[in-house]
Amino acid sequence: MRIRTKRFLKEKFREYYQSSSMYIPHRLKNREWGFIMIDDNYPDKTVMKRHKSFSSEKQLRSYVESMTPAHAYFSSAYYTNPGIPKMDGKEWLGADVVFDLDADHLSNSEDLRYEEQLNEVKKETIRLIDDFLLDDLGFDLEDLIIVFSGGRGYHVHICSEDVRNFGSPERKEIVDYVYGTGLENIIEESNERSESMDRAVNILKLNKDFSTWAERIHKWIVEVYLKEISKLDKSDAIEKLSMRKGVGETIAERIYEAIKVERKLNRIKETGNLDIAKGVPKIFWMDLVSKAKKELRVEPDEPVTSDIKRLIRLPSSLHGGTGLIVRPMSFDELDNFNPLNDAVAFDNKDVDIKGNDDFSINLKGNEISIEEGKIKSVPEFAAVFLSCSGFVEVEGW
Amino acid sequence: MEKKIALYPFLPESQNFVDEEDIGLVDLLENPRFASARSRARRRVKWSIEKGRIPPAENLDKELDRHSELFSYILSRLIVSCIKDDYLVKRYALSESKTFYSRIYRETSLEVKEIANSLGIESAITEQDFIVSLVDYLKSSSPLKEKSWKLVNRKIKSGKVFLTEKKFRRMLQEVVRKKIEEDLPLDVPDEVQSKLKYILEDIMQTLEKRESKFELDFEGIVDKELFPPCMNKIVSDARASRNLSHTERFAIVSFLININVGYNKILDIFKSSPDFDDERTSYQVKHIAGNHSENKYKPPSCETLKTYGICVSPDWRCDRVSHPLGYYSWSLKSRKENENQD
Repeated sequence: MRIRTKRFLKEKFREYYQSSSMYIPHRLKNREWGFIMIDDNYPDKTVMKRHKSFSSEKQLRSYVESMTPAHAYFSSAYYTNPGIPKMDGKEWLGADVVFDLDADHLSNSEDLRYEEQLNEVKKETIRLIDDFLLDDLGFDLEDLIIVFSGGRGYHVHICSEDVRNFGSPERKEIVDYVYGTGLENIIEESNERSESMDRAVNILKLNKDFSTWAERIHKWIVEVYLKEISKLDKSDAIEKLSMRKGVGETIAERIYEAIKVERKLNRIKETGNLDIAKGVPKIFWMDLVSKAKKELRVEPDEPVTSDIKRLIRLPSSLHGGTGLIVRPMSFDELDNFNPLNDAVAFDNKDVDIKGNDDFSINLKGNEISIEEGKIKSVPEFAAVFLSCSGFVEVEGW
Repeated sequence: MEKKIALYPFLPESQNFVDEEDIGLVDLLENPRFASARSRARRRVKWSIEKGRIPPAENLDKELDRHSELFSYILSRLIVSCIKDDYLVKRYALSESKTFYSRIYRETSLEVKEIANSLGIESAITEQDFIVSLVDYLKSSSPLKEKSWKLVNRKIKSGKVFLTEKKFRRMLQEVVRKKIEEDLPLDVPDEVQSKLKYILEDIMQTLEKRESKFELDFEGIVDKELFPPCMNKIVSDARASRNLSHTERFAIVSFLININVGYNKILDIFKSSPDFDDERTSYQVKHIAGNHSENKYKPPSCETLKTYGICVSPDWRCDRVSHPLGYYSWSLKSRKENENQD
């Protein structure tokens, strides 16, 4: 990155920090802080200044305003002596539980545009909160802090007194829960390879009382998968069913006949009995169960949650790799949240930039495109985003 | 004294009873009134070392017997505290908790609920289940490694975890074990040490006898440096007297068998585990080893180990193998190549 671009970013970041309100975590004095500066090394080599601590909001603000860091982090943990450089000396008092959901893990992330990736992760975040954190684990919405990470995902912090003393094993257990790790065999494995025609009731442990996960999987199979099939024309349904493992046309037809009438499907829902047709092989159910599992789980970055001494991005700070705001929001806002509009800081003033690459993106409703080697004017908010991401250098600074 | 106070001496109500009796340390250690409590305390600790449980109590119908049962617990803790041995503390806590489990087996659900309450675990009873809070569940069940204890395999609604009565009782065993283990060793005045001398010597001998049975010369048998991180972790856990899950046991035993570690050497590793049971372990090891070499079980693959949370701090070599045995043969090969170069 050229010096003039760094100078531009530093100035813009300073303007932002001077004019915006700052998120203050609970137990501010007990947190450890870490910053990456816009200095000579930036952005090629990142050196984090950590083990900082602040005794007041004012002190924190004035540090951030004067240093204008590219990235700002605080510890999910709180300590008696957060500023001591050795971890042993800090004296751990407790920690929030943090989930980090990122587009990295999406199986098809490379095929998706940035906007699409963000949208996928948002849906996952909503499921994490709705299904797992609120419904199952019973956390209170008011104890959750929901944050756009400024990059390719979302963070959810749980700040309840209940969780602060959890050690790594308890935290890991929660990650395993939302990801479905270690799920007991919902299907007996004994005859996995044989063409067994066991009755579904014998092989599928999807009884409601078995586990909440089993109940969800059952629900997905009946109320999502089979329901969708039941609404198709016969030929489409058979085609779709035959694509699944272990199902030929005959069996596909039998399954379809068994579920096409709504009343029949409702009966399956009520009784829970999946013995819907003769001769449906075990492999069909196994395949469906694993599909259900993939649809239902969420995949947070495991070490972030299990680690009891992690640094996490400061909500309301700027993300130095995108220039976007690490924006905290309410759960209601999340549904319609669009990072490329709602997390964009800075205004429309024109800034001249020179493209390092061909690239286009829609920011705040403006289609911005740049070409390699070409100089053009773009709005300031776009200049910040593009130069932080390394797509352009700023001219004239 | 209620029978409950003698049977469950670690409950707060038992502690209150002891406090109210206000018995001096000297009385406890010297007064003939407490002779039977002292002798039972000695057996309590001895049995825990030798058998992993507490000797069965008298029928406790008589007040006198209840009294000495309760005070034998107080004295046992003093004995264990004087010896200050990490293994003994763990083993003793485990033994007490196992006995606790067998005792609550005879109690009604309602009584179990009350005992749990005294232990700080609130619960609700429905027709089929005991319901506990997520926080209590996670804190108490995290050492339990069997798959059915994973949260993912439980019914959980709005932060309430549903357990069968059997599982609830088992969870309480864990609560008791943790409670006893965390409180020990107590600070004991020097005079206790000298007054208990004859008992302590006996216990030390018992402890040494058991330890000499399992001299841990693990370094001597195979080169641990060649092991993948996961197997190293299990071995160090076993040596640090941490309980191993069934899967961890299976993984390490099958791994060692496959790299041709002898049967007796393998048993040695487990002997330092607090819940070591000679017969059971040797049966398990034999079973995994199989009668013929072709019947040998192979250790689980890296993928399976990951699912069970056994895979820890994978290193660069781990990234390039999919099986712990692959790791071992590779590191063995590189070692040999290096040696040849030298």
